[in-house]
Amino acid sequence: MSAILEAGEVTFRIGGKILVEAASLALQPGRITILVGPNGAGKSTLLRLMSGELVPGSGQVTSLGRPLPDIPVWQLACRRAVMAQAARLNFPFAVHEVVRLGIEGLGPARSGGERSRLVETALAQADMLGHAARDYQTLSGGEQQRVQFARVLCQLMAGRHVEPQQALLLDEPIASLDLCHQLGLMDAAQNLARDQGVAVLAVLHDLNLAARYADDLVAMQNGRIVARGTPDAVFDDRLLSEVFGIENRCDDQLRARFGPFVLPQFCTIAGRGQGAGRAA
Amino acid sequence: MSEPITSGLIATLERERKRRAGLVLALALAALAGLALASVLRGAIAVPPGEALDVLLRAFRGAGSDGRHDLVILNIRLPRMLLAMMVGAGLALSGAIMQGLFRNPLADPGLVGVLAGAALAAGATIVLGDALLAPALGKLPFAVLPAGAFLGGLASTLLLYAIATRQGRTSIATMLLAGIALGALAGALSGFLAFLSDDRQLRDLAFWSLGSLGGASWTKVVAVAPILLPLMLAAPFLARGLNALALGEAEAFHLGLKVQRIKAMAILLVALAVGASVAVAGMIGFVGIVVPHLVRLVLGPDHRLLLPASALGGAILVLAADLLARTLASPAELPIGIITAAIGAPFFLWLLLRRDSGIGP
Amino acid sequence: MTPHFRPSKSAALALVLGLAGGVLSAQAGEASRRIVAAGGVITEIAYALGRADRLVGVDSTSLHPAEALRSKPNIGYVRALSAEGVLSLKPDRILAIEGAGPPDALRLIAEAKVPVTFVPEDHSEEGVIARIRLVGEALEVGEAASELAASVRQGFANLAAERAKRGRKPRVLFVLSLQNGRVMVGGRNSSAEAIIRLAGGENAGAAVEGFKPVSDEGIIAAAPDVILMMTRGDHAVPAGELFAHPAFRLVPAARNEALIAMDGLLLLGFGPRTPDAAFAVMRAMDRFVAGPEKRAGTPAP
Repeated sequence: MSAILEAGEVTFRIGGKILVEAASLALQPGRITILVGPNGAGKSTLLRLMSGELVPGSGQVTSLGRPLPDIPVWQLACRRAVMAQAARLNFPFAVHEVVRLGIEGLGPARSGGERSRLVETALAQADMLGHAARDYQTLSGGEQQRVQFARVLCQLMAGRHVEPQQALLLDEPIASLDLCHQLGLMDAAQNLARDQGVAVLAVLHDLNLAARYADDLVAMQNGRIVARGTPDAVFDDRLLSEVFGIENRCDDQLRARFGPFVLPQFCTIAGRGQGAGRAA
Repeated sequence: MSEPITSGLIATLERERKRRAGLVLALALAALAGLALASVLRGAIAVPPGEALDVLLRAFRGAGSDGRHDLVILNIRLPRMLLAMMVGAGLALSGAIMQGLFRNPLADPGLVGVLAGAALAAGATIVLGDALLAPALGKLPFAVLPAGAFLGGLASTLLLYAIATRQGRTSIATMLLAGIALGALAGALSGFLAFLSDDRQLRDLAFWSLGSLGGASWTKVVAVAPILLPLMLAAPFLARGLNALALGEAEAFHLGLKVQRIKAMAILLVALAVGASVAVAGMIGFVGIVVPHLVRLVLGPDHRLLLPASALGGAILVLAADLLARTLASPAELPIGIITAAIGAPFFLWLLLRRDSGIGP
Repeated sequence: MTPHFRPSKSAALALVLGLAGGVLSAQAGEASRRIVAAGGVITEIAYALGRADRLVGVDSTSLHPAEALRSKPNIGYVRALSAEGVLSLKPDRILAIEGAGPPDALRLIAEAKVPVTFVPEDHSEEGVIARIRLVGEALEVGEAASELAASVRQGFANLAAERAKRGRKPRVLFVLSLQNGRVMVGGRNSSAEAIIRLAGGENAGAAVEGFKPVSDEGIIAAAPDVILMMTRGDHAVPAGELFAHPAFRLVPAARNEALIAMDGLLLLGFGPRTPDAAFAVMRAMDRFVAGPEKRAGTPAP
C-alpha cells in the first residue's frame, strides 16, 4: 500500500542552485524517520517539499497515492501537521490561542467545548498547561517551541477523526530545548508513532538523539540522500567523517551498551572549527 | 491514545474572554447608538429633540412632509451620520486586516497602494479635469472627483498586486517594497500636478487631502454601502485566515488555509473599502492604525474579535470626531483629521503607558 | 489667509450660477434680508455700500473692515463651508465668490431653497464694477451701488491718467511667500500681475504662470526694480531680511531696498479699494524709481 507521505525522485532548485536532488523517501505508519546531515545538506528543504509547502521542480510528493497539489489543503491539514523552526508572532496572542490555531484550518466541525478539551490536552502533553494564559511573545525560545509542539499535537488530534492515517513533520524541534524537554518532546513523538501509528519525520542535529529515536535514519549531503537504514547500520566512522567532516569515535563499548554513540573529536574540514590546524 | 480527563482550565479561560468581549462589544454598541442619536440631534441649527425625533419617525413611516427641519435632519445629518459610521468602520477594519496580512501592527490600510493611487487620481481630476473633461461635459459633475479617486486607488492596488504576484503566489514583502516605490512615483507625479496647478486647484487639492464628511449625501451613502458591505461580510472568513497567518504564511498553509485566496481577497476588499472611503471623505488618517491597536490592547489579537470590534471602534471614533468637528467651531467646521488625532492619540498613549506599567491586560 | 483670484477668461457680467437653477430664478427678485457673505471682497463691498446690517455671517477671509469678523458669526474658510453651519444662520441668500465650496455643501444649501449667487473672478475694471453692482442688487441698494461704481470708475480713470504720466515701467516682482528660502512669485495671469499693471508696473514674474515657486537664479534673471509683498496682519517681512536672501541681494531692487508691503485683501481683493491700492503701489514705486512726483507718502496700511 502507498505511504502516508512519499517523495519520488524529487529535485528542487532555486536560482540555479540545486538544494535537493533526486531524493526518494517514504514515511511509514508508526515509524520515526530522522534526517541528519550537515548545514545546507537539504534536510529542511526535503521536509518542506514533503509538507507541500514547496513544489518540486521534478518528481512528485504523494500522499496515499495522490499527488499533494490534488489534495484540498484542509484535508492535507487533517492528514499531516508541520512544526517549522522557531515561529515568531508579532501580535500578543495568549499561549492557548496559539495552540487553538492548530484547529483553525480544519473547519468548524467541532463544538467549542471539544476544541477547548483538545487545546488543554495538547498543552498538558507539551508541559505548557501552566503557561496557558501567558502572552506567547514573552516566552523563552524553548517555551515557544513547546507551545508550537502543542499546536501540532492539537492539529493531529483534531484531524484524526477525518484522516486516521497521519504524519508529523518536525524541523529541528528541539533546537532551543533543555535536555529534559528534548527527551520529553521526542518521547511524545515516539508515543504518537507507537500508539497512534503516526508517521514521524524529524530533522535533528544531535546525532545521539537521532540514533536513539530513529527507526529509520536518513543521512543527506549536498542535496542527496547518501545513506539510509537503522542507526546501527548507518552510523559508522567512515560515513560520519565523510558526511559531517568530523573525526569520530563510535565507541564500541558504549555501542554495545547503548547503541550507536557519537563523541566528536575534531573537525577535519580546513577552515571549519578549531581542529582545522591539526588536520592540515 | 485516550484523551485524559481535562480540568476545564482552557474552557474557563475562553469563557472568561468571551464574557469580557461581550461586555466590551455591548458597551461599544451602546456608545455608538448614543453617538448616532447625538449626531442626529445636535448641529449648528438648533432643532428641539422632540421635533427631531418626530421628523425621524415621520420619515420612517414614509410620511413625507415639508417641515422646517426635515431637510436638516434627513438630508444633512442622517446621511452624514451613516457615512461617518461606514467610513470609520471601513477604515478601521481595513487597518486591522492589513496589519494581520502584513503581520505588522504598524501596517496601514494605505500599504496596498490605494491612497497613493487615489491621491494621484484626485489630483489629476482637479488639475487636468478642467482642461480635459470640461470641454466634453460642460461643467464637471460632482461625481467625477470621487469616482476618479476610487478608480485610481483600485488601479494602483491591482498594479501592485500584479507586480508582487509570481506563479500564483503573492509576496507580501515584495508588495511592501513595490508599494513604497509606487507611492514615491505617485507622490512625484502628484507633486508635479501640484506644480502645474493654479492657486484654486492647489487649495482644492489641499482640502481634499485633509478629509471631511462635509459633502455627505444620500447619493454617497448609497454609493459607498455596497462597496463596504463585501468587506464586512468577508470579515468572519478572513478572521480565521488572519489568525493562522499570524504564525507565518507556510504555517497557515500547513494549518489547512488557502493562503493565496485569503491574501487576494483581503487586498482587493481593503482596496475597495479604502478607495471608497477616500473618495467620499478624503484622507482621514489615524483611524486605521489606532483603532485596531486599542482593540488589541483591550480584547487581544484574536481576529474573530478584533475585526468586528475594530469596525465598531472605527465607527465610534469617526462619528464622535465628526460630531465635534461640526459643533465646536459652529457655524464653521473643523477638519475631521485634526479631531480624530486629537481624540485618538492621547487615549492611545494612555493605554500604552498603562500597559507598560504592568497593570493593564 | 487672503484670497487670490484667477482671471476669468471671459469678462462676464453677473454670473449667477444656481446649483438648482429653477429654485434660484424663482427667488431672484425677492427681498434678501439675511445674507451670508462667502468671500472677503463681498463683505468689503457690503460694508462700503453701508448695508452691513444685512450680513448675518461672513467667512474667515472677510478681513476688511476688521469689524466684520468681530461682530458677525464666522462660517469658516470660504472653500470649506459647512452646509448646516451656513443654514443655521437662517440666510435667505448666499453671496459667494467664484471658487467657494465645497460643491457638496453649496448643493445642500441650494436644496434648502436658499439661493446661492456667485460673484465672478475678474481682475479688470469692468469686473470690479460688476461685482459692486451684483452685491448692490442683492442688498437692494442699487442706487448706492451705482454711486460707488461711479466713484470706483473715476478712481480707475485717475489711475490711468497717472499711469500715462510715467515713462519707463518699473519691473515689479510680487513675492507671495518666502518660506525656507523657497520663493513663490506671482506670474502671468495672476491677480498680482493685474494690480502691478494697474499701478503702472511690468510684471517681472511673467516667466511663470499663476503663483509658482521660482529658483534663486530665476529671481536674479527676473531683475525686478521693486519687490511687492503682502503683510500678514501687522507683520511684514523687513526689507533687511528680504535683501539678505542670496537671490534678492543681486537684483536691482536691492540697491535701494525697494520693498513695498501692503495688506493682502487691499492689494489682491479687486473690490472698491482696488484703485486706491493701485495708487498706493504706484506712489510707493515712485519713491524707488524716478517718477513725475517726488516722494509720495508711505503706502496705505
